[in-house]
Amino acid sequence: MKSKWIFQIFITLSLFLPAIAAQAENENLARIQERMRQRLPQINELKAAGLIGENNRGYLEPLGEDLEAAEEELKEEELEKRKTLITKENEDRKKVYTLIAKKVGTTPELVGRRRARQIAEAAVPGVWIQTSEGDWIKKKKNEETEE
Amino acid sequence: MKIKVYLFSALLPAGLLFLPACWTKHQINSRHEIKPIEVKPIHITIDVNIKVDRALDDFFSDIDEEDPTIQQSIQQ
Repeated sequence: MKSKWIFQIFITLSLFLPAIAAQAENENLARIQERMRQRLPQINELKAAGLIGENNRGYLEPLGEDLEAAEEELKEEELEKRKTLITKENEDRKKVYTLIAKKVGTTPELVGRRRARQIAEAAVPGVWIQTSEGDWIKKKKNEETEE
Repeated sequence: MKIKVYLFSALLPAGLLFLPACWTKHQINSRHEIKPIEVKPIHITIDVNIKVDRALDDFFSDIDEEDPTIQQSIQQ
């Protein structure tokens, strides 16, 4: 009698498990979305200052010379905050790419490259983007770019 | 009569000798191969890219709308 109950509970749980997992995934994505939204103003500020750019793998990347020059004027605490911001954003992006890759049946790397392409096409003038060849270019008006 | 026989016996081997020259052979070789249906990788890649782009749009469209570094005209 007891074993019958255990079996019934097990069957019920196994039926609901995929739905529970899907709900957890959606909640996770919603949380990531919210965090990204909150970071957006700070990221845009750095983008506008030319201190960070969008690389060809779908992640944010500090821009070498500009960042080094700016770092000298920055307080250590502020610099740490910026690094954390970039790291957290990239971690969340990686989670999103991984979830999408799992859903579609591909790799997170491919998802990242597709996102990088979308960003490169849609970016407004002034944003630094990395081409598929690896060169960093500043987006200009009418899709023109400068090296 | 004898002349006819001689003539016949002389022409018969000659005729037999040239008989193969009258024989012609016509041959058409045709080969039919049925190749197995191939699913080309490029189609698969495009299909995956479309699915990925759609999934990315689903997730990022709201964020991109709020992002001033993303052009609004391209988002829609």
